[in-house]
Amino acid sequence: MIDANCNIGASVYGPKQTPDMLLKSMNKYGIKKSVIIPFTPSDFNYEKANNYAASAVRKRPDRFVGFARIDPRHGKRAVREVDRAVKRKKLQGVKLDPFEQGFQITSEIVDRILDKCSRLDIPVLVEAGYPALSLPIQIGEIADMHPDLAIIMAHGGQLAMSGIGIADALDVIKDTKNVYIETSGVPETGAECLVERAVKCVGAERVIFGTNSPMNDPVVEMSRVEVVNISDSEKDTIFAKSIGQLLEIE
Amino acid sequence: MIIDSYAHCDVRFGWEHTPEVVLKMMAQANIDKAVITTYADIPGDDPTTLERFIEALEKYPDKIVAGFIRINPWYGRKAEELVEEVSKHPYIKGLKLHPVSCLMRPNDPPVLSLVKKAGELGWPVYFHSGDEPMSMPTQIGKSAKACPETKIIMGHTGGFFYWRDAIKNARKYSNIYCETSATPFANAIRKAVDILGPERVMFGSDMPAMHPTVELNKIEAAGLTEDEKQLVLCDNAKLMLGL
Repeated sequence: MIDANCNIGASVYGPKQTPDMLLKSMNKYGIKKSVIIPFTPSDFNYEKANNYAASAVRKRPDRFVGFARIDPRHGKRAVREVDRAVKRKKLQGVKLDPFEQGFQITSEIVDRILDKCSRLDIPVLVEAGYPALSLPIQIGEIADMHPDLAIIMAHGGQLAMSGIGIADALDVIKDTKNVYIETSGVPETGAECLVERAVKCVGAERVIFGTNSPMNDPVVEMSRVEVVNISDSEKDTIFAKSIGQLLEIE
Repeated sequence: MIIDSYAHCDVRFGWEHTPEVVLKMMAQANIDKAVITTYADIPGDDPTTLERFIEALEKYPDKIVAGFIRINPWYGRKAEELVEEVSKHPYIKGLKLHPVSCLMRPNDPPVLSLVKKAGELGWPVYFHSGDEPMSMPTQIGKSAKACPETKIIMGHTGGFFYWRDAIKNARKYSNIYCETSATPFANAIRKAVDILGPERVMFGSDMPAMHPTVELNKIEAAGLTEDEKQLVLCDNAKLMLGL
């Protein structure tokens, strides 16, 4: 099992998780590998935060894969940071959080980051579902503009429990080939749920398991996939193969 | 015994969430009794909703034990008369108000009239809360303040982004109770129990749209004591609805 969405470090907003704490939780719940992403640090030094993730990966390359947190407001420096994080620090993806780093995902300052990621052939995980900033339909827009870039829409693009954004999320994955759904916190886990409909529309390869640890509980997040009315092999794909293929890891 | 204080029976949005679908999910998650509401507002575009709601309530009365009628406050006086009329039904025991589906704030005058009316009948009012601009916990707080005699259920405890506001408002107004479904955070439930006391937190699943197993796992993950669980999963709903 691979968890594609874990946070490490100390967030300026409060939550904390060291790589050791995460490892303990992974061992407890049978998670083989985790994608680790630095929290927004209180000193707003993203280079340092990305180094922290990279050093955790260096210590346990068998358990961790790292993504860099990028602040597009830093302009060229942010583009350079993507390059440095990937080439020198061996991180394998980028996380963009339009709320914490303050931008619309469709804005020009983000475009050059997405271009860079596309050229480096690394996926981008977007904190998706924020009104005005990263609704599914906006994710669809950037996916159209960057057809070679793999975009992981965190939380199925919802970030709300009403489910009123689900129809757009399904349209976006149907209309594009490069958008993936990450499962943490997705609403409508019951009958004809988002994950089931996504699997039936575009296949389990486009659905990725993540926990959003430490804010969300791993058991709750696993059960969001376990209860879905799909085959066991589709569940295996969601739990490991989808992200495995994207990052070329096992 | 587990009582689910918030489930749905309705045919809408292309969904056929019949009483049988609810019963099947209850069995999967070992839920003994459920309280239901509809997806459509009454009165509304589908004139058969009330009839189906009552049918669902009368079909398996030992399993589906009560209902919250989902009222459309835009009907004003007519909505109040409808409440009066259905209050004679033995299984209808509360109001559900969805501010986004009706596009009316929890603190707008027609809603307040209905909330007061519910209080007079000894009914609780369940509000969908969180994540959309017309259903902010602080707006629900204003409604709770204006209608202190009515028990108000803060549905979903504020959802993704407003669980802190949900708890804050419930702390301010003692007639607010937090319901646990659909918010993704077990920690929000833990905090609600710690701050408000276990007597003011109620388990709901929001099934069939949400899966009750996931929702019960969330209660487990909140790390409640056995006594707290007894109240949250069963006794609070029993007491509030006289089950």
